[in-house]
Amino acid sequence: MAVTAKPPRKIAGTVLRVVVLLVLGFYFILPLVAMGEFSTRGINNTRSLDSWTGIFEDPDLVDSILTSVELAVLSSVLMLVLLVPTMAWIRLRLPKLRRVVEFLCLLPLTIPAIVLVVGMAPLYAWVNYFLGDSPLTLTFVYAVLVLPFAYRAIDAGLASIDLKTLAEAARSLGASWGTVLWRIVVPNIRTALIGASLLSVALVLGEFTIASLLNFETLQVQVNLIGKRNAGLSIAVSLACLVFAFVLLFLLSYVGQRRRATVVED
Amino acid sequence: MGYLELKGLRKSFGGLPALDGLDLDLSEGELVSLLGPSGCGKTTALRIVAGFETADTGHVVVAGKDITSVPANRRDMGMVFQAYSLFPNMTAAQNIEFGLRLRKAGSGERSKRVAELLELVGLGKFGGRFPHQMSGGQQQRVALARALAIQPRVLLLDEPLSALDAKVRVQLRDEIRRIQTELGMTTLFVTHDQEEALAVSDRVGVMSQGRLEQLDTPAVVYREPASAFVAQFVGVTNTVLGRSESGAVRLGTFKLATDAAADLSDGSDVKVIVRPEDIGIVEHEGEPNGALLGSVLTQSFLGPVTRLVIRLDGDEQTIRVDQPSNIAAAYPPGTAVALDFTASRFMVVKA
Repeated sequence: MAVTAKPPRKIAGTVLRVVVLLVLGFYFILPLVAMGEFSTRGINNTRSLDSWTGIFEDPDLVDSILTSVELAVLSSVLMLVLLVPTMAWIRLRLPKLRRVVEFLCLLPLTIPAIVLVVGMAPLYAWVNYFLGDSPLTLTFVYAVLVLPFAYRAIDAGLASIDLKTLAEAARSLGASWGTVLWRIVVPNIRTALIGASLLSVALVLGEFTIASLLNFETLQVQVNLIGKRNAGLSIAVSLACLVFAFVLLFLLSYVGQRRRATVVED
Repeated sequence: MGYLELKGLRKSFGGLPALDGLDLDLSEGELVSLLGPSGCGKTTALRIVAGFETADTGHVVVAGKDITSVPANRRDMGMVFQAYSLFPNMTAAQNIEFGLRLRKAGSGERSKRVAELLELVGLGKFGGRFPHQMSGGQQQRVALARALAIQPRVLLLDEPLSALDAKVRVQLRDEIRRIQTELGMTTLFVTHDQEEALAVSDRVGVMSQGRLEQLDTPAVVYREPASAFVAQFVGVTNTVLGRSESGAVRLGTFKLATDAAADLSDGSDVKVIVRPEDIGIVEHEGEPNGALLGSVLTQSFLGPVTRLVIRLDGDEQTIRVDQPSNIAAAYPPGTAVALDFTASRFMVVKA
């Protein structure tokens, strides 16, 4: 009975999986294909790469791309520097504060961007007064903005290791707290850190509202601006941005794996 | 004066006392076990020595130097944990040399030392393995090697064997003892397993409710327990309820003459504590003759000895008696027997 009943069920499962994959794949791929199609349209139904080559000919656009990439990197670094030691310390020494910190880290998710900007604007008057009006000062807002996502990722990473025992073992061998963090915690939650960084990069590259309202020329602000005069170019940039994010994802996971493999060879 | 001294350690967690004035001295090269049920404070004591907890009052002294306020990473204590504690991102060899790297040892010295230690714990060829590629027993061996690598002043073992299966546990415990003796390493060993403690220790400290009940050699702790708690916690014991009566203890129709009953008022309830191997047994037929009588309920074969469970006549109490297996065969279940422990060691305490 069981043997004869199994194959049909198995087939049904496979069919379901294929259908789900097709539908979801279609849902994700179709807009990308459409963007690709639109951005390569030439005059009189021809194909042309003018929009794509145009990306590098627009100095404002190139500037904004560089700005956004710098912002993404700086925000990720600031987020990691803030969050990893804090979260590790709370797990090790102040477990009572965990709920409070979790709540604080999730707050940016519940506050609409427009409200954030209203609160930030006076603050940024001061930031710009002291640090100049470089768009890179957005790093401070963005590091806060990515907290909810990064917190989740890092928290999962810390939960997956026996942090207390590992830290105590390292301490008894003579490690300072800094060494514990750098040599023990970071390498063992590397995947989580990569995940958190990636989320941050993706979020920063896609952020529009805050940058626009605070009058900084980031990539998305430029894309919006260009969209008003050259739709093909703005679509090409957006698609390039998405593809860049995918490549980044691939590269980052590759880096994580390669590091581990080198250790095996030792 | 000992090499490692714990002086009047007190510690409470949220108002609940975990250590209630613990004093303990270890001579150099000595292995002392702290044995007790969970919550008796043994692990807290160890963690205070390691520097992971701070005592509310009291001092920890190593080689005459008070280290009470020295942070854990400057104490030079080697510690092996109950949970697997190897750094997952490092190989066995890298784990072992971690402490040496922190001490800025040269690479030649490091690899020499790692090779020696891997050999010492019997894992010569496992240096390149990651923790997840090793069994629990192997991981704990590496953890031991890692703790020894820094040439610690004191070795602290926090139930390092309790996550392992029975056979590996016995093997590794003997090996720990061999290595400890070989290196003359002063060692504090925390365990809840009395067999483990008795087997490997120079001295055993039995703890209960944050205090040391008894601290002595395994033989003395076993043969001459200082309190009813120690008697019951260490080894297998029978506890028989009786009543004191004119300087003796009455168990049913049997009167056990003992000095211990002299200070007890007549008619008070007492417990007689006696080990199964300290009870004599003879077959008994006919009328009561003033001996402790009962009948064999079950037999369980334990190899060299067989444990007889005997129900005492006149009440529902049972008593366990160990006899050499060849002798026990003569007492199948149902046999009426007379028990004798007048000549042997027993302990009488107020119930």
